[in-house]
Amino acid sequence: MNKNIRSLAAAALLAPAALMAQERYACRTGNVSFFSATPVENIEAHNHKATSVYDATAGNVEFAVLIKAFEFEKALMQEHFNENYMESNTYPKAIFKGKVTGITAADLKKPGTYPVMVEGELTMHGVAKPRKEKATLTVEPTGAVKASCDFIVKPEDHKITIPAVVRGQIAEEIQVKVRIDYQKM
Amino acid sequence: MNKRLILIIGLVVVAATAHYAYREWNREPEKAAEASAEVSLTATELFQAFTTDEVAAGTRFNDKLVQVNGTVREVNGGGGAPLNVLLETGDPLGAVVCEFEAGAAPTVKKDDKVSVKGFCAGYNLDVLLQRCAIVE
Repeated sequence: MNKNIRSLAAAALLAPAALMAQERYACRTGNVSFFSATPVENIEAHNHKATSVYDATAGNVEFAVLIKAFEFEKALMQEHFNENYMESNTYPKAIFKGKVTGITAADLKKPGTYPVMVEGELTMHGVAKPRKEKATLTVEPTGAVKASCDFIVKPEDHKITIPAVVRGQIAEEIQVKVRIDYQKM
Repeated sequence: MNKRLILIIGLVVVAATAHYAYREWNREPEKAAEASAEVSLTATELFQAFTTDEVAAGTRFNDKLVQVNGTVREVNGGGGAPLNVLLETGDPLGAVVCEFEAGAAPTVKKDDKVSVKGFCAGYNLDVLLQRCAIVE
């Protein structure tokens, strides 16, 4: 992921303008948050440093987030999240690679809100799972492109073990929100 | 008398345990301003450590309070969101990003020489330091 984004960024800096016909967008300050709601307590965390590259010509999209960059209200939650559940020393990143369908590069030149589908593979805690989610791309009158996607992650789908003693405090379905403000490369 | 003493000691132990548990449960993530840096180096050295060997650098720096010295490349964010101070690394494709919580944002500008301490979260195109504070 990093090498791919670094390669694309290098191409944007170095390639002649004639080669830059592809419509590519990137973001390094994307917001990813998650929310766990149970009768015992609500837990939420925010990450403001998601990276993403979207190649609108080919439809390819990639995301990466540092697990340790999720911030919680309480230190204990953050420590348990990293050490006990996500094992972020062993699996430092969550990565998504996939395709965006339902929109063309030409659409991105016209302001509007475009419902799209995103299909690919989410790798988290070392476990890759296929995902197909609805998302929205918004083209502002200024030409700015924003993406949003809400989806559910089940910890057990990624072999994240929740001890029985705290099972009631952590939802079986974690709500995830992704908000990206892309910059054209 | 002995029973009363044991009862008092028991109550004190229970109260102390409950107090500790309450404080621990509500403890906020540590902020850089409240602690001393464990390691100090330049922004370029920190960035190169991660681009050379991400795993080894992660083992050395992640979760630690790291102080970096460098030159401000860019300041972005803020306005209710974290403020990001990007430090030069000698690589145009990556920076050391020092994230300051809203309300703890420093007044620095491009080309300023600064020392910043923050908790290292790893490398994702940039090296990220969080809950940062300026070192005066």
